Amino acid sequence: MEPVVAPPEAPAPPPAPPARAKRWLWVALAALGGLAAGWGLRALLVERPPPPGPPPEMVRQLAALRDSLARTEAGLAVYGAALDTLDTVVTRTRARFERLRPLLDSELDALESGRGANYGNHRWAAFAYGTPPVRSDSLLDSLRAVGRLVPLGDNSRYVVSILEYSAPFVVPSTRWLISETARRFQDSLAARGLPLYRLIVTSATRTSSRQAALSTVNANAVSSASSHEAGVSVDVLYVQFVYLPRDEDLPTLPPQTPHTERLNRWLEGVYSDLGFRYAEHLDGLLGRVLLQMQQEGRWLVLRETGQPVYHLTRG
Amino acid sequence: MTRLLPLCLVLGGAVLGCREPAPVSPTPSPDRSADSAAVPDSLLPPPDARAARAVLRPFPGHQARGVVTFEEVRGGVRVLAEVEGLSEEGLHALHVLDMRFCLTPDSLRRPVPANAPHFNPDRSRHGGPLALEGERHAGDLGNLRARGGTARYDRVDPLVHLREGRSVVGRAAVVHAGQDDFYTQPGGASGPILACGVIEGED
Repeated sequence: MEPVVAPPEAPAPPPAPPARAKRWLWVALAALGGLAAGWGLRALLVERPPPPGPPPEMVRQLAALRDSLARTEAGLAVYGAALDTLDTVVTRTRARFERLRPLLDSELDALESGRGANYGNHRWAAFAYGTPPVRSDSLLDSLRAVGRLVPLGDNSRYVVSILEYSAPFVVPSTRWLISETARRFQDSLAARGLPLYRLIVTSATRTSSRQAALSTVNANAVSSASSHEAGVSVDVLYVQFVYLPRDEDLPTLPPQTPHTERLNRWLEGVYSDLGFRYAEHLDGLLGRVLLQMQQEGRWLVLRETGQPVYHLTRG
Repeated sequence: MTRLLPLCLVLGGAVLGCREPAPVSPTPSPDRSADSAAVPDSLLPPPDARAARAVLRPFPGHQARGVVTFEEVRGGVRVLAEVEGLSEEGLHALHVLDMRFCLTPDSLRRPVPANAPHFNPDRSRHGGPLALEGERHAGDLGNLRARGGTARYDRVDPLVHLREGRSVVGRAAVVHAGQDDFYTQPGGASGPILACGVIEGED
């Protein structure tokens, strides 16, 4: 009889969790799942925020730069139009100057060796229409005091340069004649659509002592009695004229043109320069005015060659 | 109230003590006739003279001297200058300065600097004497032309006045060593001053 062997004992099963804890575990898992699903749905359904852009300061700078660029482009366009206008004005003015005829040889002859060229005529007129010879400053002051000599100052018709050997005084009729000459000269310019220029008087009444002093430095100046000593003669430059700024000479520039005042100053400078460049043409106009006034018996004209002046004596 | 009074006194004293002391006026110089810069414009007599004159006296190291007369005439003021002691041949700027002295009114008595501002009531640019109003200073008189060391200048200037606020009376007239180029701002690059005189009314 075989001995009865007892079967080995099976290992004890782990202790089953209690049913209540299991239930809580499921609840927790379900809650976590719900949260995850909600998070996912939110990501899908809620609008995403925009990606972060450049900083606001940079945005402002970019906008300002864009505005500035636009303004510059607009300004350049306006400038271009303004420069076109100015260019047209200068070209047209230059062409009008070109059309002014310089003095012809015959006219030069009439001015240099005509009736007025005889200096004796000037002296005769001086002592017929002028003051007694102004021998001294005190006599000059006396003649001024009684109105025989009147001051000669700058105005819109002419300017009087700094005088070294004469005094800025003449008889009233000579002052009127200078003004009349300049008026006719400027009227001729205006009729041709040109800017206006003023005449330059370089000599007026000389005392005898100053006339003598001048004769030592100027071969043209006579050492004896001169018509300048009687207050009826003046010298007017024919190689230089002074531009007279006027609003009429300035074109209407496009609105919004920046620096209009500077552009206008530039144009006035151009007019000044044109007066120098076309002095020979302006002299043509002045010479013809003087010839006409000589024919009318108003002036005796002598176009000097040693000095670039017209020696004018009341006729 | 009696307790606050000392406190107010202390505070008031502290405030007064913090103020800058009043400047001490320099010792008066022996000759201050030309130093009217020390006097405010409002206290000066009205410069309504019809004629005026400046006696130009040389600055140290120079010989130039002369007289500039100003006289009201129709159309402006006649400016007549006669100066000697200049260069043999050359141009010398003549200006009226916006200064009321030739030597500084302090105890140092320094000559007025060459770059002192020109008389310019219109606030214009510097220019030549033939320029129109608004294109030159009223004190821009142009250049003297020296021959043999002497120069004469005679001109009726429409921008020079002897009356009211635009009057040159009381200002300094100066002759420079160099010529005025009429475009360098604001003084015309005229170089140092040779002679100076304050313009005095003659009426």
